[in-house]
Amino acid sequence: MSDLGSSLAEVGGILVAGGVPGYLAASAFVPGGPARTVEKLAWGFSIGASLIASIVPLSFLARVPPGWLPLLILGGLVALGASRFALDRSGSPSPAPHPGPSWMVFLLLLPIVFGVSRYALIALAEPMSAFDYLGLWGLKAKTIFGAGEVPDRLFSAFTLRFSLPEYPLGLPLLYAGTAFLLGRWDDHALALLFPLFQAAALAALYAWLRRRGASRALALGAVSPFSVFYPLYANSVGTAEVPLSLGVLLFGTSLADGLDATDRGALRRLAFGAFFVVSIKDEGWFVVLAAALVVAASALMRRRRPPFSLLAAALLPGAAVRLLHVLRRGPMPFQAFDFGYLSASRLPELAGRVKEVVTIAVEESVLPAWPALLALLLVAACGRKTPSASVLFGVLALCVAAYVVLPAFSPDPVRQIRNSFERTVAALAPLLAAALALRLVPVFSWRGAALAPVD
Amino acid sequence: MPPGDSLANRISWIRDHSSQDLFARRLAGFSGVFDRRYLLFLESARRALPAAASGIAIHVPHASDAHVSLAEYHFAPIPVLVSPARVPRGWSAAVYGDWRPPGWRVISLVPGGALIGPVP
Repeated sequence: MSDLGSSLAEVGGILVAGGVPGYLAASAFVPGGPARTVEKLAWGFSIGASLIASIVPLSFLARVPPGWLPLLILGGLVALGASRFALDRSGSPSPAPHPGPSWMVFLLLLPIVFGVSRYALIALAEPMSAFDYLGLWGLKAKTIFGAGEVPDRLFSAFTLRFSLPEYPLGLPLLYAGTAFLLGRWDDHALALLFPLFQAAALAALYAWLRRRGASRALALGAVSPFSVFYPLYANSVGTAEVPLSLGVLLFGTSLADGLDATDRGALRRLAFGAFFVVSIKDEGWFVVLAAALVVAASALMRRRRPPFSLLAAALLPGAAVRLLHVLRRGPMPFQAFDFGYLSASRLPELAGRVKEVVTIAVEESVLPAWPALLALLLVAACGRKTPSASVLFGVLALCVAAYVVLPAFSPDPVRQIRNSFERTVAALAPLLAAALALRLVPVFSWRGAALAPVD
Repeated sequence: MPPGDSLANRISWIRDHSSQDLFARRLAGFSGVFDRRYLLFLESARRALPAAASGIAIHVPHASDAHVSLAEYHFAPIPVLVSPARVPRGWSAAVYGDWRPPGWRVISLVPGGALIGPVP
């Protein structure tokens, strides 16, 4: 029996143990910049979480129990390998000459500290109990941990048919890996991951904005509303939306860096961002596919050669994650959707369903949020059009359109749109923040050439 | 009482329950509010299960989705069927509440219900 405090300390220690090699490995991903340490911490946490998740299938393959030795070996190999490819810090932009008064920075930090503390209290107040956690993410993780393997029945059992067996296993493997290192299942202490996912996303966004030329005050000002974004941080403890939002941010900011050729590490970050976001949820793969489509279409419309190396960095890691899942579980259709509605005879029925879900999305989600949406439009209008911002907005538009229309293919479209639309769109919030920032930074930057390469 | 929505309630909830064991904290949280007696029954049945159980069928009157997902999660990695028409061969069985299905005998009583087996 363990009390909450000691369990949290143990899980915190495990995450630090995974985060240290992650932080060291981040040297190969993060270039120089005014907030390089903050950016390395965010990427280091994400790499560390991936290491902890990865020891589970790799240990099963090697027929050894997942534990500290596999983490030590894998972490050591990753940190050593990354040290050979560490990025040069030279070429970093100089700090802003007018960073703003310290009282302003303090004031802007207050809502961020409040947002993270509030989410930590929500996460740690009780063992994880969200419906999707119990029925899906936690169920798979507890099954993997308890069975000491990834059992076939996760994908085929009648009893688990509602647990979305076709979904990727990144989050369950992270829970299971942490539990293997802890030596027991503790679904209360595991919740510590969630405020850390949030803090990593905020840190990654702040540091990226600073690297792209935003002043400290502007970067903090952009991060503040994201830290208290209620649709993302309410009822999300244990479910995939918050880690997905971190993945979407890592992928989206790296995509923008890749498009603007900011530094040598941009494509590496894009590849890791794609790996991370596709490992979490099917929606992550959709974001990657949408990005590839928009990038390719944007290049062709401007009569330019598509950036094949960037497309490969985005698509190949995601495809590899998908392939590994298919190899383990076999091909599996989307059970939640019936694409037979696309047949000619059922198109009229589909049209009625699409009209129904669009009406619900507009009436119940878009119209109630019109003041915030109007404010966002005004903010966007204050900025300047940049190619990378336009691509991110294109990805956002495709994703939102898909999240509205896809429920029309489900057995119960009304229930599906009400259950999924707001929270899946909320996970895209960091991508919107990055896209807006790309429009605003050229206007508010202290450097005219904010989008210039920094490495 | 569950932690509630306000931050002050959550802080006092953590202060009051942090020294308890994990199941006591789950019982005191929102999972317990849904049906405290059911959660107690699940935990008692889990502890009473034979170590080699290959699965468990639980008879729950008027089972909701929440009953099903809580049972599947609580017993994982052991497979669970809630109120199935037939119990798979070799599986254990339990019944929630006072009702006893015909053709089954009580093996042991647990809080909130009983572990049952077919009449020989």
